[in-house]
Amino acid sequence: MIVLEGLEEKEALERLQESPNPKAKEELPLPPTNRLGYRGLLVEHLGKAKNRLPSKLRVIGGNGVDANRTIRLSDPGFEHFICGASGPIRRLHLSAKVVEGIHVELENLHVQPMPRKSKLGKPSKACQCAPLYEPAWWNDGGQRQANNNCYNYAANYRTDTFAQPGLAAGTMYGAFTGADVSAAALADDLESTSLDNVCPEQGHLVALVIAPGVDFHWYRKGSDGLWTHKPGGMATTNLDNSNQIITDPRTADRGMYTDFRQFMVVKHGHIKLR
Amino acid sequence: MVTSNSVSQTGRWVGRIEVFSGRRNPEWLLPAGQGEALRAAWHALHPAAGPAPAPPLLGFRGLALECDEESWLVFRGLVVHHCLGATEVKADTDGDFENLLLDSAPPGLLSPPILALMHRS
Repeated sequence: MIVLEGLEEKEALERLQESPNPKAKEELPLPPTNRLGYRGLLVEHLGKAKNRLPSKLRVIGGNGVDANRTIRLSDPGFEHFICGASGPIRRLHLSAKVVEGIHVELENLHVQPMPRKSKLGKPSKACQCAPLYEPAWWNDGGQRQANNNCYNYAANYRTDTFAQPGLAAGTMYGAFTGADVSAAALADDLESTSLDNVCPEQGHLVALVIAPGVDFHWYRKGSDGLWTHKPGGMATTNLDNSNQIITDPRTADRGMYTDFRQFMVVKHGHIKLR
Repeated sequence: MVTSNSVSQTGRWVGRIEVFSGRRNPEWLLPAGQGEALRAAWHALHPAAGPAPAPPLLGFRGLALECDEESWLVFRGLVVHHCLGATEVKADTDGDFENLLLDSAPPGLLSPPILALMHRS
């Protein structure tokens, strides 16, 4: 059970309101409750019911269900608000497998994530420019996922070419060393920074790590202040090699990427990747 | 199955080492007959006693083999076979399947650092 309080409760209640869209008045079928697997989120008021919402509501597939009817919610992505990487579900400390299973079910139910509202979101003011963690967009299981690597993801720049630092500028790295890959990224117009795991005023923070002599890897800091990454053609993730949320890539379990090189800044619209 | 490279073609057998993040994974087309030899090697394996371990997110994630709708992933002595939604796990106790797949790679493709990463995992 997760208890929502304060701003989080306020935002949840706003998202649970019936949609003002005229289509909301159209009758929706009651979803089945006797299925295996994910059967929705049960939302219950612990005190007096507020905002004319039913005291108990099951949210599934972007709709709310009370005893008698199905309601279109003003936020059809409510389940992502709760179950997303930065959502309150984190407080349950579920295994990554369970959370991933829920995300798969939400995808099957066509629940689309919606951004947190900036006035209520956790990120500090300086992180407002950072990209959201939206794994569903990158993890399409097809060409987008397979042909965009850690560098694409960290820069939030899709090329479908498995982008290589420096290639667009004609000065690709020559060796898998911090110095070489870093110089190549600077040629792509990423910027050096002295920021220490702090979001910049403009753009967003990325981090370069090296598996000496064999490969490089990048992370990016999201609007929630946490770090995410995309291991090659695999799915994006907010976990490290020990299945822990990443608060600082310097201390994360990075497997063979043992050398932390540096933080850099990606200014949106300034960089060129290929 | 998501592939990290582009040599996969209909009816072709493709081998790959899942290991990198920034650069493309080493990938190769198998010589004629090798794919069927690997299929025969797969059939000769015995079912695994338990589920396959989840490979790490970063680092060596296994040796992959693909042909059309079928794929195999060798990791820590187990071979996971996927075909049209069905999954089967077998034990490659003596490494026969793994070695046959490694031997199908062109000479020089799998450099000593890559092989070292494999064996370290």
